[in-house]
Amino acid sequence: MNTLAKYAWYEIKNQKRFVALFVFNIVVGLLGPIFVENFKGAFSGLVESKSRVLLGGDFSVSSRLNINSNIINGIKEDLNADKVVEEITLFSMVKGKKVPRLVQIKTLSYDFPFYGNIEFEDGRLWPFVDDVFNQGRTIFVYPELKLQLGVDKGDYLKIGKSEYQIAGFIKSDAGQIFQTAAMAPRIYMSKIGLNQSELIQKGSTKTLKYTFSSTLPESRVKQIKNKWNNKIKGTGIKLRTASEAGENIGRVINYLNDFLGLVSLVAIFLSSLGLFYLYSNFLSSKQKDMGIYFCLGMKGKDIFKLYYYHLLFLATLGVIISVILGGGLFLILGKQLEELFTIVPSTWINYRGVILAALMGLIGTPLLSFPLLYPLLRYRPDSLFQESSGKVQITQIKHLWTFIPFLIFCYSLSIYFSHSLIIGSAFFVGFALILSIFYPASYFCISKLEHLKFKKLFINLGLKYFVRFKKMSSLILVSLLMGALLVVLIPQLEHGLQGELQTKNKSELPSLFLFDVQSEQVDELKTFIADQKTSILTLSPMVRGKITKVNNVLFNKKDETPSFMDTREEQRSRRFRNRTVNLSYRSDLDKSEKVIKGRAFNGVFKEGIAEISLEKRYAKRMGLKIGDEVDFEIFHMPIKGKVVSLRSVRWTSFLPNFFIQFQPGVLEDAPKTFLGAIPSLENEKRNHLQELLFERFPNISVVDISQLVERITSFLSQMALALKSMAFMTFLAGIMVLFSITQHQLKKRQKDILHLKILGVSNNELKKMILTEFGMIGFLGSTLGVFLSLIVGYVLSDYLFDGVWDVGPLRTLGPIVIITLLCFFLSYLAARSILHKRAETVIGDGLS
Amino acid sequence: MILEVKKIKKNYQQAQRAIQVLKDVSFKLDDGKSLAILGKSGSGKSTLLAILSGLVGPDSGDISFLGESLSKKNEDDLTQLRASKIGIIFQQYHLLAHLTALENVTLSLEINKIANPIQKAMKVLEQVGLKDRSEHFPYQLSGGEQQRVAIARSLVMNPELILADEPSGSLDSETGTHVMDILFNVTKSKGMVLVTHNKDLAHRCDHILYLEKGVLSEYSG
Repeated sequence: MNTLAKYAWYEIKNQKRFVALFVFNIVVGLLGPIFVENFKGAFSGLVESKSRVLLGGDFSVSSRLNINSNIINGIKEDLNADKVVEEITLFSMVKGKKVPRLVQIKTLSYDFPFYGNIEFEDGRLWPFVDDVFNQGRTIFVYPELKLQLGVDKGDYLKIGKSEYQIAGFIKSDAGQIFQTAAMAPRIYMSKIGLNQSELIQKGSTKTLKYTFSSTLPESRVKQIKNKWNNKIKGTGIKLRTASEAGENIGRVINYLNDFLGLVSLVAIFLSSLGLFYLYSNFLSSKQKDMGIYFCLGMKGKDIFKLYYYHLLFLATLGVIISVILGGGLFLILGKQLEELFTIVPSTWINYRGVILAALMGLIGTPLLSFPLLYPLLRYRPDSLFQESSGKVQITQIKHLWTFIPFLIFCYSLSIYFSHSLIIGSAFFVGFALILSIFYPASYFCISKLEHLKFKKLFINLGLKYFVRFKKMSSLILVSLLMGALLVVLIPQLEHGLQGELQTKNKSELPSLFLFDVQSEQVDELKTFIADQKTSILTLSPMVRGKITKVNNVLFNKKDETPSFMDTREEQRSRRFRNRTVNLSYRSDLDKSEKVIKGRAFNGVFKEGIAEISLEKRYAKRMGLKIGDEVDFEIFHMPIKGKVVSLRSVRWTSFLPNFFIQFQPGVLEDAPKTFLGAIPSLENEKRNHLQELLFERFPNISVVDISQLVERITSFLSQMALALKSMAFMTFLAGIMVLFSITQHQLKKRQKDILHLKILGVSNNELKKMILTEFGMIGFLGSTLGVFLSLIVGYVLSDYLFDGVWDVGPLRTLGPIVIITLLCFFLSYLAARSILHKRAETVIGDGLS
Repeated sequence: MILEVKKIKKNYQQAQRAIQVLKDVSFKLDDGKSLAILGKSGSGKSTLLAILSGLVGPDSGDISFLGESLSKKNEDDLTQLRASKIGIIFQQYHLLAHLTALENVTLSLEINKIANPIQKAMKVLEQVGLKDRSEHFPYQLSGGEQQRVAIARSLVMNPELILADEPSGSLDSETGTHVMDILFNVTKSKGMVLVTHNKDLAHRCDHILYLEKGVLSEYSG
């Protein structure tokens, strides 16, 4: 072994306590990110391995508009496809023995899916030959409808204008394995069956999809996709290869992963604080050793290398332990993951977790310690001879630039975890701000306590340590502040969101949401609803179209192929740009929206360019602003619009709202359907109205908002649970940092404490002194953290949930009490062995 | 002649004030001879040793070691010189706490990539009477034993010059005498500069100089 590495290894071998604390801090920081990365790896691995099954074939073409047969035939020829299957998907109401329910209807062919299969409760596997099904007399149904509609196998369901017999309940559907929160359960029927229902009418919302089976390699299929993508630009048709099928699947899980990653990143930051503190103390204690190395012939760069190897050994040890523990944690939580996300972890360790841990540990740790190691390059010992000062400044102001590599590393991690330039930057800047404001502020404020005096000796002694070790006090304080901030903030946001959905606006929420209302049904529907002694809150027209140009420049359809470097913003922008758009028109704003920039419409359109209003976030994603001219194609008719206003929309009102609104007088003659909402109703009345609506207007789809809200809040709770768990882990990381710093600090003070004993300070007083010091840090850190979380929570609630800000005394005071008590407990734990040491051990040749 | 110190000066900046620690210090040391530098605390003895070992440069003046001027050597040359030709012994021993006695001694040999470090180190440990304690860590050794390990470490590279900074200063008189016996015994053929305020110890050297307020003079007492 290299001599320097050998001596670095000796440092490890014989500094077990320091090694244990240092490695423990690394593990605490890496555990969360490794867990998240394992989760991501398991998910993306499953998606990748099942990509053909998810798509059902090798390539698909889909659109909400009709697709020209030349396109299908051309693609079929290019792909050399032996089979092509057409699927139609739409939403409809279905009546069983109970209240009608919204379902997703999907056509199913006898030879589809090409990969994977659909398993029935009776053990049969589709595809198989079933003439009765193909003739449109039977259907296959998702199991949840058994209870929701009160039906069983053999019963009949009315769909549209026909009745169908249930031929089987589906146990598992290969193409749906990663569905987390479907809007409605699915019913499969044949194409003939769908025609018999007469559900498809002019302007009905439906999706057409053609799936191809091809033997060409994936790379060739991608080339064909790119070729056709260029040909069909602007038609609203989506092309997808099997490997891209996973892109849309589990989008919610990807977002969750992003946020879990960010929360876990706080644990890394906190453990970084701990590591920096421990290593700077370690190097301080090694000044004399360095001097000896130097006197014996080592150069500054050799000493630098020795401690660099030392760090690498420590980091490797930390990475290995973290990977093993992270894998173990993943394995233990496998069951919960399966329940929450239908993901069964196949392996307990994932290469992504290992790579990330290695990167963070083996690159991050040396980068973090670089500001401490850099001065060693110019090391000159002056502390070995008997009359030297012995005090060496490890980091100096002029070396502040040495922190830059680690900061860049952290920033890259923020972007990597969030997959978002905006969120990643905001997160990093937020953290950096907290650190750069609160650390010096704490340092300054603590130094101002210098002259405080109390009657009790233990308080004075505790305060002295608190003040005189201001660096350590400030560091622990900021670590606790961050931990408390997260622990209190995440539940605040969760409650805010739930409050927004459930409590505050409950009476304002509509009870039913209607869609697919045909133009000719509008008057009849209004009368019918009025006869039921209720009303329609809004009835908004919806016209489908697509954007062709912006400011006379072709609005380019973006390549849908996801890239490794894509941020979530880019992915979202791509999705939005490639979508056909739903347009509407109204003269006055709905109560759930308000103009935040620009002006209201100038009455009814007369001539020139029509005025349009955009939802603010949509405008941002698409890069549109006030004054831009946008060309649309609506049922082959070109229409130009000029952006005159940006609106904020409260989507949680569940009222019909649109990204793009035209002024009245432009779209009235275009083919359209209507969306509507019925105000809050009693359960019984709501169910009755649903039945009547189904009988009278079988083509109109009705969503029960209360059930939808229930599903969303239950899903949000699951997501929040995951986030809260990660926040708790982060909080633990903060506590662990506190514990290791406390351990280290008290060990350093062992001599002081024993001297105090010799001077006559009792064990009890010493115990109280330590508890006072660390209790003060805990109380101040947690109070500041909670206070900051309230401010951040309020600002975010105001921005995200229109001011629904829900804080309870338990959620605010609880963490302060718990953190302070934890500080008492941990400092007592760390001090216990020292307090029990006999005072006379300080006399003699020194302490071991 | 092994060492010639010519008119060296050294100032230190303290707060806003420059303090002159060494004022035109000059002396010579012949091969195999020992020189004691006596002086009170704060007289500049340690600064002089730091300059002689090349750890700190003088503000002016020159040091000639084995006929070569130290001021003409760069950092790497000085490091090499210190590693191979100069042995330093400190009052506080300064052993590496996480290394055994043997490892502390082999360290110099390994840094300088000398073959058979363990055999050589064991031989020197035997010379200082610590062969049986080679696997002990510094905290398992008494003060005297630790200083003997430090002496072994300074000798293991077979240096031309030993610089000793109050080597018995932390030991009781009996142990101190024993350690110094060993030191004088094993450094008979080498040049040695011994910094001390112990007059008895100084008298064991071939020559004595007295350092007071940065000025070096012949010891008269």
